Amino acid sequence: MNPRARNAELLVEHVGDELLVYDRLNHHAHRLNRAAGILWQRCDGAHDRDALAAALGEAVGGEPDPSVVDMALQELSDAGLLESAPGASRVSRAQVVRALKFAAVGATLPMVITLVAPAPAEADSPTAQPAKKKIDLSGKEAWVLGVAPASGPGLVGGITAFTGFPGTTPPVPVTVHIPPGADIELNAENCKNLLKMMQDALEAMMTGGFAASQMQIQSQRDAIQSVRDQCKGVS
Amino acid sequence: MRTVFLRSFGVRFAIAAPADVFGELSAAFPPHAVRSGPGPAARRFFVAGERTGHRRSFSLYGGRRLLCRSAVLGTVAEHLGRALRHAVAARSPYALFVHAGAVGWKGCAIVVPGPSGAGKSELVNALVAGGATYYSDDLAPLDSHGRVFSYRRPLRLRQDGPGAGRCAGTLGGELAPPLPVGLIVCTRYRGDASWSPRELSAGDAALHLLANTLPVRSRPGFSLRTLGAAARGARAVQSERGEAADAAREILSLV
Repeated sequence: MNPRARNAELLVEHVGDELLVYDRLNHHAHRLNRAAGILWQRCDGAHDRDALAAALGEAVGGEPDPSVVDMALQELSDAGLLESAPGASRVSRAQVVRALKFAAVGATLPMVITLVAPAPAEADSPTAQPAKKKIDLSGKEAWVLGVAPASGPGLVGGITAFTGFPGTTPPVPVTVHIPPGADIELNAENCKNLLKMMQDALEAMMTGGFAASQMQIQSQRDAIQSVRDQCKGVS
Repeated sequence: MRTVFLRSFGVRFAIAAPADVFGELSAAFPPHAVRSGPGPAARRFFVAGERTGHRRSFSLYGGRRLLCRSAVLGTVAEHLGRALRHAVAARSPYALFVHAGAVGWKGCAIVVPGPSGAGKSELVNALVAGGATYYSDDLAPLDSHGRVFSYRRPLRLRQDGPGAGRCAGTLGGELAPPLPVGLIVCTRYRGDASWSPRELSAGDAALHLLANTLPVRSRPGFSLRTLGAAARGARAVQSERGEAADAAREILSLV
């Protein structure tokens, strides 16, 4: 089966001689360099591998090479940009580069670079690094009573992956709602600090230091139990 | 209790708070916010002051959700400012907000995309010290042509004096003209790094901007067109940097 480019739910923007493609289904953004863009746009179901190689060679210069097309089709397929996937055996980029052995290979080889578009909380995150494992507080209303330090925006009570809190000068005690999408890495120190700050907030809620409804108090208790469960066995 | 309606980049919001704390809270209003009459608001914020004996504390609500409570009004103001800026960034119908520092230089904008905490403010300060015009140190709004608006943090208002009763944005610097993007700098601080830039393609630059665009998921079409327009006419480089002043000199010499 000849490869066919996917069109549904894709937004395409020409930037110079490259393509920026946004996939609305999974919020992935792809950059296709010139060669990859040319190849992708020729994937109409009518061109086979050899015809694509010839078209690519003509467009970017150089000898048509089917192994380059195989590699590019795999990358396009892996990115979800093809409706019909290529059937050829997998060829790695390193294999192709070794086989081609010419200096301008970077400019003429098709290349697809993909990133996951940031969710609003991630785009805002001061420490938007991928954590190995996170404390999941999604869907829960919870608060912490902690200290926002003078430096290091986003830090509260020593938790370094807390999103949504600006640093303050000087350090002050603050009760804050844990924002949706809080990005807290699951580790022993964060477990200890978070549980203490949540307990302190619960105490403030119970003693009237922090006005809260019975529903909010119960929600806080549930959230604390959830964190305890997740932190079991974390050292 | 006093309620103020403001508009910033096409987004209307309402803030209600005790009258005596408005002066301090106004420092948190988004840049270039202007007063508007009462009416529907995209977001409503409410600051409640409570007294326990001699102690006064403040609670900030966004809609019905409690966002923050502190005895220090400045802390509440910081949270309010952040919530307001992001409400505008997420909802603006005609500007695309990118996490980026920006300065004006020789008739165009130098844009430094990156998340909060990446050292943008330090680099922007150094660029301004080198003669550039300050546009933004955190969020840079782009219009549909990919031009950069200034988004300067506002000045603090006093309760009395000539600024009383006016919103912070009108005092925080006049709206500078939007500038086309001339240079996109993708960089991050590393103590022992030296400036050694490599050129990026326009597509690469657009992808860097996209990675720092707030409403990209909710408005992908507008985001792509705007970022494409911004990157198409610009030069783009990537390098780690050491001291901001050293990097700033090199960056300014690129335009």
